[in-house]
Amino acid sequence: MSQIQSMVSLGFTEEKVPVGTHMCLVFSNEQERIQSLLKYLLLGLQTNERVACFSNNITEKELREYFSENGISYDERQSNNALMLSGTSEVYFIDGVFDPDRMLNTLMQYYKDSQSMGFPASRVIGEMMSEVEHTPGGERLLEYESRVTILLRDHPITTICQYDANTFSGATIMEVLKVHPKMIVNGVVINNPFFVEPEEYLAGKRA
Amino acid sequence: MSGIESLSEKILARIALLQSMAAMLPNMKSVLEFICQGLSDMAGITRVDYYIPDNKDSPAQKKDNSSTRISFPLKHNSILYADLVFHLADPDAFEPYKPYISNFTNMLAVIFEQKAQRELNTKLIEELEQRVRERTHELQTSKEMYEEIVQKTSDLLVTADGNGKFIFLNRVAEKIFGLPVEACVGASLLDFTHPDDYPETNEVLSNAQENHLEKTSFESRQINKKTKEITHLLWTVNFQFDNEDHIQVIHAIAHDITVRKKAEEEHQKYEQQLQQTQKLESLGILAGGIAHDFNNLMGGLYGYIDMAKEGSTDAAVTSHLEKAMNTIERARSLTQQLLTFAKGGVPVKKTGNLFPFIEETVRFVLSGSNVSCSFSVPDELWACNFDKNQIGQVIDNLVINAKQAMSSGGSLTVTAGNIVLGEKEHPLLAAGNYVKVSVKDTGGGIPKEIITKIFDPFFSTKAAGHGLGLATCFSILTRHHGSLDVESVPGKGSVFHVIIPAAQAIYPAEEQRTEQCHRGSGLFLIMDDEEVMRAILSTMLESAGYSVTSTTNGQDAINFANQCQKEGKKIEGMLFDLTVPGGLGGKAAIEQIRAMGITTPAFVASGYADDPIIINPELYGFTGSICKPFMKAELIEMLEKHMHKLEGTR
Repeated sequence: MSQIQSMVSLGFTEEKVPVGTHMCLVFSNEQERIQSLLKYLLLGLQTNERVACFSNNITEKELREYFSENGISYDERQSNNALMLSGTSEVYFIDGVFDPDRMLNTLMQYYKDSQSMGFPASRVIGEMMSEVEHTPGGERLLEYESRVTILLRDHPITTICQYDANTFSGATIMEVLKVHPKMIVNGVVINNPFFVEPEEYLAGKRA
Repeated sequence: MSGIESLSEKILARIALLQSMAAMLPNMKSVLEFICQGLSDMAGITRVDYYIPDNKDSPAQKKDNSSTRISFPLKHNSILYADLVFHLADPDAFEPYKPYISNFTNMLAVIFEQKAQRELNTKLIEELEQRVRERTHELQTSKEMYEEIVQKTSDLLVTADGNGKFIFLNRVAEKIFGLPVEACVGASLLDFTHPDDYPETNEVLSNAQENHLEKTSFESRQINKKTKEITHLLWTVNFQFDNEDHIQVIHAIAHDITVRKKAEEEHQKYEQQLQQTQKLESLGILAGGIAHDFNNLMGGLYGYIDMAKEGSTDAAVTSHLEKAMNTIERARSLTQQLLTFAKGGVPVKKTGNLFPFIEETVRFVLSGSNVSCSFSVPDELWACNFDKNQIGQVIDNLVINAKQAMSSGGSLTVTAGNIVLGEKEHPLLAAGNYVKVSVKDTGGGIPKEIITKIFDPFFSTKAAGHGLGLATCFSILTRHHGSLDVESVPGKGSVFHVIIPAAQAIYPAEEQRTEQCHRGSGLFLIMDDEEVMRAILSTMLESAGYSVTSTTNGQDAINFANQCQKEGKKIEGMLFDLTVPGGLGGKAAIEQIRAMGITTPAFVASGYADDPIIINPELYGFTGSICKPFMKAELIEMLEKHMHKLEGTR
């Protein structure tokens, strides 16, 4: 299943990216992360996209206030399924296990539901926690990220993965770079020179 | 192909991204891991390692003899942060990137320096914050200590402005002033000062201002607004002056000297009572001398009138004589009071219960008056050693005074109770068990200015008073080793406390006097310095059947007795005056007569009813005693009692 590629705004930069872009935001400043997240979600709602946020570090109250200040009703959008807010742990670590297959399935279902509900597009922002490295299945994180890139080819959900540079090691951050086609650096979306095509990356993993 | 042409855009982009992200990673190790991994895929490179000098966590450099190594020091301002070691498979392929890598490593060195600087700054800030925390804690501790000292001291500490208005007070203020500290702020010392101390307190501030005093001290009484309790304070005050020599700030410490002041007041009271006692003793000597002589004269008058009345057949004359005797009776009462409080007033004490005797006395005095009375006496009231006549006199006086103080009516309350006094608990009384009888009236009270004089003899506020009532009461109780205290609130009434030492025995029933008659014969020797007494005694004894020989002093009496003994002339009885001014008295005379072996019944007479010889005459060689002035019937009664008994035993 493919769709006509269109460009979407991210909210925190003037650049537009193709729908279904898989991006990575490595941050060290919490304020910067929050601002990116809020603007990204807000713009999605303003353009009637279906949006989802998986984060342990944002509260419903913060979202409600921010959306309200910008003329968006949190309750209204939530009631018509345009907005979904869940904690990282609740989505990624169900039953204390990180299961890439289950996550990919969740994303695929999310996209399908969005389509059936008539949303013109959908976007997700998810904050990965460093605890993944100590969670069963956590060693498959990069495999998961690489497979997300493949999934999004046919199920184009615009996706931002957030990684905290203060909680992941430098070596892990470099590996994370390899599985995201786009990077957001200093608020600018760039083509990631370290990106390795998922098929090649996954083949290397298998080897 | 030139060197520039061989450069890969992708690799350059990687280097650029690494540069952008290096600063984002939190520490040198994380950056180096990130960089080494990011550069490992470059052309001609097999591996990139890092080495941090003097860091045990730095990965050991692997020996790799199969490849060429090139090292890039990450160095800035002579500080080597790390070495990046590139293991090259193809040095030629790497060669074009060397300048980029060199620039990159230089930039990394700068980033590391910035990070190091930030870490240093963070460390310095943390140290500074720690020192601030420590210093704050020290100051807090110091402040708490200061506050503890200020608040826990028993002295009152205050700070006031130049006008004397309180700025600060410690918690002692609440106890002394009776208000919360917050309510005291803004008030001045005068707001809590006893009105009598206003002038002196005001003078302290004005005097300090006038004379530029830096330090002074004074005493004042403070009134507790809540309890009205008075606290005596000794103030030590420091004044601070401004540039214009005006008092700017006042710091003061006040020490509570209430206990000391009360002790001083007690001592003063004791001194006053001691002076009172001494004054009474002096006056007693004087009054006693006069009373003695007067009493003798009275005895003569009394006897003669008694005799005249006995011989009178004219009803009118008898009536006049009776009135004369009544008048003399009153005069006798007055001289008895004088004699009682004079030196000879030793109480004739017997052990007994004060009640119902006191109640009967009070009711008798108040009978027919418009003063109601009530009694509160516990059943277990201790017995006392007391002279019934004297204590009766005390109660008489107190109740008469109370009745006069309540001329328009009122109520008298008599309460009694057992009290146990400790050492120095009462200024005049020794430690021990006492009975306290309080007589409380609802009269006008005693003015403050005269309350210290009411026990003085001849002091009276009554036009007809002779001023002996309370003086005598005081004297009687002093001789009972007790005390008479007074409390009075002008306008509300007075209460007199009679305190008598307790005893453990029960008062025996009184003997009833029975009417006696006596007839005798033979020679009766009398001795008295007063002619009138000699005459009346002679008349009385002669009327009883005796022949009388009278002498004027003890020596003459001894001589007569000696002569009679020599001549074998029998003396049936003797009656001697106890005191003979300027001559030998009855006591010395009977001693010598008894020494001569003469056993004749001998009697002693005196106006000093409380004299030990009158109380226990047999101990001094006498057969019996009689108190002057006396009626014939009393003399006859004494003779009947002793002469017939002696005759019977002879």
